[in-house]
Amino acid sequence: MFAKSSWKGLPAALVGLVLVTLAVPAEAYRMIQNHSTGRVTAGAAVSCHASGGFAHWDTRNISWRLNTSGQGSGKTTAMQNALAEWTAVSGSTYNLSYGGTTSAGWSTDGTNTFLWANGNGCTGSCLALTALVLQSGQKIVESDVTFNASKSWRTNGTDYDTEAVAVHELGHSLGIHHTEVGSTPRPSMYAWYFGSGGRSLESDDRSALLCSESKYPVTPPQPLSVYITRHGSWNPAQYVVAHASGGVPPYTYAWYRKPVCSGGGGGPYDPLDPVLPDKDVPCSSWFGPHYTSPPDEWTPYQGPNQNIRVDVTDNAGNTKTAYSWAAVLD
Amino acid sequence: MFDSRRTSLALAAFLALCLVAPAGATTLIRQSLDDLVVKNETVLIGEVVDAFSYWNDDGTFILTDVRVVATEVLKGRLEGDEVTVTLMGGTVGDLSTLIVGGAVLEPGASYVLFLGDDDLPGAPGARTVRDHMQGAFDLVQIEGELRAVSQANGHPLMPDALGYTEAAGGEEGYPLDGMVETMREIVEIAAKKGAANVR
Repeated sequence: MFAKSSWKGLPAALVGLVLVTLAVPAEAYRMIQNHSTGRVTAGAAVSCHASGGFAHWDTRNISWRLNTSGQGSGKTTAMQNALAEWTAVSGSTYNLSYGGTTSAGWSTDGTNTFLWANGNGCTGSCLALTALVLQSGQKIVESDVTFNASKSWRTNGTDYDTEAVAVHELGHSLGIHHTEVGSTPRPSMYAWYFGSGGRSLESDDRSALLCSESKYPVTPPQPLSVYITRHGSWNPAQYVVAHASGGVPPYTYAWYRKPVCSGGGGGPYDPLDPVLPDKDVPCSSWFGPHYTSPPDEWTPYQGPNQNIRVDVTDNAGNTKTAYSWAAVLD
Repeated sequence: MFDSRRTSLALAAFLALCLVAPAGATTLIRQSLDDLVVKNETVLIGEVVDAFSYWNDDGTFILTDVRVVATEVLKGRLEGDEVTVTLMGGTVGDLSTLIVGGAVLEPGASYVLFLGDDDLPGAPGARTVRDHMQGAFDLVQIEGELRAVSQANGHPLMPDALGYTEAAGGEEGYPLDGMVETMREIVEIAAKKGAANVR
């Protein structure tokens, strides 16, 4: 039995303990670090400023799709809300968008997918699992989240709350590990599921995203540009090279030519060119593409006074055109 | 009037509230040692001798086969003393797949492993660490004693039926000898109850 005197020092001790319990360490959020060397690794939890860095995206626009089979049905709004929660972080330029439904699964296919399944390595004690696909330099290029379909997933705030878990798993997909914050209000990246309260990000979550963004700034791509140079002489064949830069590599090249009319008749100069079958082709028309590449160079049919055009398309679908006029070519 | 005892009790209650786990956890539900032993088909102590990552047959997911030489099998049977454990994730070429919360098995290191069969992408019924980081215990020397420490340490888990959230064994883990003895007892009791294969 406690003597009365034994309680005297307890208030101060308890206050101290409570304060320690409630103390939130600076930067309590943690990031996912991975230096895989061919073995499985789950990703270490490190601070945002840890040497060795952490997993991150090099784009700010990330589209997610929902596989609506099984329990995925009726979860669109929950997913959209979860995506919007991260997009809404003030000061962040991340834009997590809903790209519609998909039949894609738990696979490395370039599509970021939410899905429900009995399997995928998430059964029994597993509620939901996040996979990150990384390229060298810990660059995240894809993420998928599989939910355990043997559990009941709801959207009305009761357990298991789809939106709250999606917010948390999306945090992982952004390279954020579980926070060390243990006090309320609990961040969404708190390791425990704590009901629909996890739908809303807290300052610790937001700080994690902002730190990631500042640590790995994305340089906006320069506008796509291209120009043509010519090389060699007409004997043997002259070739032209397109020099593309900016945009989103890799590029594809579509080469065209247009003969310069010499004299009357309006026909093309080179009758041997199989692409220009007769001399009735209007002088002003571009013919081609004669050649679609890579590579970035083309040896056009021999003959002077040809205008060359190349349409360069980058990996984002942007197209830029460059010309090398006959006056320059020959 | 200030009543120190009443204040103390109030503070104690407040402290308890601060420390009480909320209902639920995101990724993994806490598994006790009993759960891990009973719900998995194979329990062993072993050393990882090799790990090989590859694309599954469909080319849709990177898997890693981890070859483990068992030094002690506590539950289940192996053909020989070796078992191949398939884990999701790994690195092939320039691409890595990482499972947040997955087990980490490094060649040259020894573990207590809780293994079960599960459907992995492109590998139905694969022998794997079904409970992810909860199903792998690192063997570490702590103050001269060999202890088994759960890889789920430091990752609070969703409370189990009893409200526990800490990884089995806690931060310091179990003394390996004591853990082995306990697991043998669990296997024996479960067998008697006819529940050894209950999942």
